Amino acid sequence: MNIAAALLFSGALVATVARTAPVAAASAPPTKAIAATASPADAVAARADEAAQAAPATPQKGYIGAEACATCHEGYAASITASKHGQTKDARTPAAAQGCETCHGPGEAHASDPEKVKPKQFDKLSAKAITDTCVTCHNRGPHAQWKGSQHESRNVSCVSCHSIHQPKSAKAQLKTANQQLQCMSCHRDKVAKLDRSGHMPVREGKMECTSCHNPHGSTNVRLLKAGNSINESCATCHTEKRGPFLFEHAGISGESCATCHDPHGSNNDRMLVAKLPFLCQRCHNHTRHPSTIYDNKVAGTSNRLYSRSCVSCHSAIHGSNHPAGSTFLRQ
Amino acid sequence: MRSNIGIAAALVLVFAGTARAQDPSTLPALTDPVEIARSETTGKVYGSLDIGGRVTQVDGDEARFQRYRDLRGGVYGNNMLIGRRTEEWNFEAQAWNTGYRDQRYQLDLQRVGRLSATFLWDQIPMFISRDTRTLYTQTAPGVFRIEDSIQQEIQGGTRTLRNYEDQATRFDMRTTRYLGQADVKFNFDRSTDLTLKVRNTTREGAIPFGATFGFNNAVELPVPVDTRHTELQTALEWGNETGMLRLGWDGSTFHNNVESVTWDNPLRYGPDISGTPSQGRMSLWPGNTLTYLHGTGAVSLAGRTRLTGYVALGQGRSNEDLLPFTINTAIAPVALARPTAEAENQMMIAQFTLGARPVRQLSFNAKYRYADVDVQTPVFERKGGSVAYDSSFNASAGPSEYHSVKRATFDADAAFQIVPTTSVKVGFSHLASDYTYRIWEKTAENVFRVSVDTTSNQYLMLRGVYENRTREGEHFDADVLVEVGELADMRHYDVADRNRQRFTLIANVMPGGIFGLTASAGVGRDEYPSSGAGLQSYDSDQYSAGFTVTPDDRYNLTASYGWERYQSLQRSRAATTAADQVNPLRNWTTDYEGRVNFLEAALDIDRAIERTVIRLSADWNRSNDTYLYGLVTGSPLAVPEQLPAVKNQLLRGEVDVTYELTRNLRFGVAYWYDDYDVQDFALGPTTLSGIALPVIQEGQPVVATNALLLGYLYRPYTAHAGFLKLTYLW
Repeated sequence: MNIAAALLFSGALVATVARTAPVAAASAPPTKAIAATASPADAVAARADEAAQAAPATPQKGYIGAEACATCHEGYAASITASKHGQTKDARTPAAAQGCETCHGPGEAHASDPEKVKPKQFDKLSAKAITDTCVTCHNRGPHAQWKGSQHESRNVSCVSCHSIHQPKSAKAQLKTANQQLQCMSCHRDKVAKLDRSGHMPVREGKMECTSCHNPHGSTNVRLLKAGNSINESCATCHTEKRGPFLFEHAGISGESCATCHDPHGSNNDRMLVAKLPFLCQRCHNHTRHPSTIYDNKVAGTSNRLYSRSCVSCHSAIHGSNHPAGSTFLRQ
Repeated sequence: MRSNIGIAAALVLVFAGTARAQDPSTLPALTDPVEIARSETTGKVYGSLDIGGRVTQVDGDEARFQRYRDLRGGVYGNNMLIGRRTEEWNFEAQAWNTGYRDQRYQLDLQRVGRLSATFLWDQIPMFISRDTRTLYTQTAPGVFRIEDSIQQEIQGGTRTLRNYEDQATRFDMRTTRYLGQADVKFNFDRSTDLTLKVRNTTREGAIPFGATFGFNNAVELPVPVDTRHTELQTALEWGNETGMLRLGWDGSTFHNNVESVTWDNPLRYGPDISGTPSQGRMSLWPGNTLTYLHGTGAVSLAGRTRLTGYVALGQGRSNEDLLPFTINTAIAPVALARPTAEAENQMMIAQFTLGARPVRQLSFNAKYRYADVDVQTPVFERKGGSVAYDSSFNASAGPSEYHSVKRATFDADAAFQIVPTTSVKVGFSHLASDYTYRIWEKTAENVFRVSVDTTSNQYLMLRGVYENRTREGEHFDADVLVEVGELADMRHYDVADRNRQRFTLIANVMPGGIFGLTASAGVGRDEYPSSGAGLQSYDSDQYSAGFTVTPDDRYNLTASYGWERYQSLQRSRAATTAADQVNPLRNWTTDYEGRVNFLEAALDIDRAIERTVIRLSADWNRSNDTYLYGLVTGSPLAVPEQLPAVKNQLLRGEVDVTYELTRNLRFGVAYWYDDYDVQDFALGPTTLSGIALPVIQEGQPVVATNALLLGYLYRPYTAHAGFLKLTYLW
């Protein structure tokens, strides 16, 4: 699911802490005592001894285990246990591997000299380097298309949006309280659109950006999550307009709903990109009513202008299955 | 000047390259009981319960205030949670706004490392109108009748529709989606997963729908919505550090329980005559299916290179029975070319992506995407003629035309990391499209772009991109325009020659620990150089600025202001005859300008007052849209009377105060204010003064009130909602 392993600084880890949480709790007082009275190196050595007794597996060279990290980096154990990264029973998690050091690298040298030797610190890496760490694991499922995606190519890293240790969202470990805030920190042009009279139920909490988009990359265009075209994505919910139809409307079939609709919001009825009849007149200018000026003199008397304008009659505008439906006057 | 900009840019980049965010070496201890429980695997049951009372008062358009939600007054339960975590199992059940139209339930279950499942029940209401009224009665699903006496009196010419407005029945127009979904993922082993997603969406209610008997006899119906959409997605995926492979099948069926709608002509009781039927009939949205078989593969290569491929083969079908051309008994039946739609699309999509970072400072991306939507539907011939809106026989009806499209897109980018946190990217794209039955047989678009992105920096986030796109058509087919009587120099804007330039810049500056600034700018320019008619240009300008002040963990103030402008120009030619169509003096233009101003502000005060959390927020959004008609010098057209501006304004404010009675029990009060104001020349109550309205043809005087609408309109509202709540957490 969400990105992962981008573990900020001391991080990720504490992996094994999940598995050993009760043990850690029981041994907390002595640990703190050690930390308070001995050098960090001594404390780490002591914790490493404890870990060795608890876990028969031999750590790899240079690794010291998550409990040792937690000796100094308080609070990180709880943060990681609360996430999927901390699930020790899942063989794919950092917790089931080298704990913190799965993402931050071996910590023995750092523990011996915390000031001079630093583990992999994600706040000091380039976006690409951060991403390279995360995609070590997050390279499948919804993340399979990350490499080469729009966000990846714009120097967005996993930790641009996600916080492994201090997430503020209820899900997906985002750095903001919800998706909308996260996405709009960059996509500022969408902010005002969501407050327009015609809008998707985003501000009501029934949809969020990822209802339609996969920010981690997609096989569709525009990072759309479902389908293989804009139309197929929209038809995931608006399936009645999916077709195929007996009579198609050029510009819709095989094209894009966004030719006429702004899915992020519009003050025009049905979220149209322009008010009717002007939108239709952008393409239709043949004789009689498509080419007529509908001005204020006829505002209250012409059904070409008032109410739902053109689609008051051309109601089957998305396509028709009626044998007489070529002009979309019959659904 | 140029050197100053260069020096400033250099300083910014140096600054960007040296300053990085610092993460704390320790994190604060958790205090929320639920958060604490979620960070443990002790098997302790945890949860929260938010119960309270809500009082809501709405003056004005309640439907728009409640458009996708249910904030009616009463007792409510919200944010109900119960969960339990162990090393082996995780379980969480949640419920929101229980018992109301927008209620939602979710169950998450996880056997760690083996199985994860999410079950969701969600209801999404859409309250369309409380003002709607109609003279129709739905006697069976999709059958709308008007009292015979009304039809008879109108047919007799003694009365008009306006005389019966008082007899119309008011009703709430709404739809509701009922969505049930299950997502299940089995982990067979460290490398292999099986995913299964099942979603069923039923939608019920009614929506306004046009049902014309001709342009002088327009009717609007509350057509029933009673549909079911069922989706199944399955995939088997294998993956490890070096590659992945996924095979999947997606299927979806859409079924409409109401296949057609039949409705009385309010102007004619009977018998049917050619030109004026006593009733009409049309099909509603046809049932259809869509299936895809798809495969995805990826492999990691040397030089931090990854090659990803995706291929999908799909089919969309719709084969519902076709209705006869008309229900009008005065028109001789016209034979159908075939009894069912036999509509079918075949799709083939392929996408290949190569991403590489051979050295630390340089990365490349290349992507090729091919999408083919091939319409296989046999041409529907109408050699025996057709019938226009159940009214008149048309001997020269043409056959159906289908719009297959093939698209090939190639993107290539190269990014240079000039300092560790900043990269500059240059890119090129070529989009080639191949159309059937469009004015262009082919279009080709070239895109050049350059961007700079600074991220992962303590003091600065900077993103800027400039993009230049040029689209040109090939093999113009004038016949497509001529066949339908269109102006010869009309160019449909979705395929027309177009020059597009886009520039966006966003900067977040965090000069100190407590203060942050953000600013953004977006400028877009579209021109359609070869379009003699239709859309000529479209411009957009979007600017925003804001700040954040966080003096300590107790206070957080954010505010932002934005200004946007949208402008388009389109050209038409008033033409009722063939001679008019070639007379440029009859040209006229619509110059649209939309201006938007918006303001957002929020203040969080977290325990500055003992045990008290206060959250204040407000946002204001105002837009003003003008449509200005213009004529050419020497125009024979009457000077138009300009339309009034369309104005929308939304103002919302929220106050939420929570007091911690104990560690587990919280008391809260909240107040929401929501005010919407609108003026719309087409959908406002002044224009739509009733459900019976006049209908005129071009240049003709008003003769009667021949339109029978539903009264769906845009009008303001002011709403107040107050909440008292008790939250218990354990």
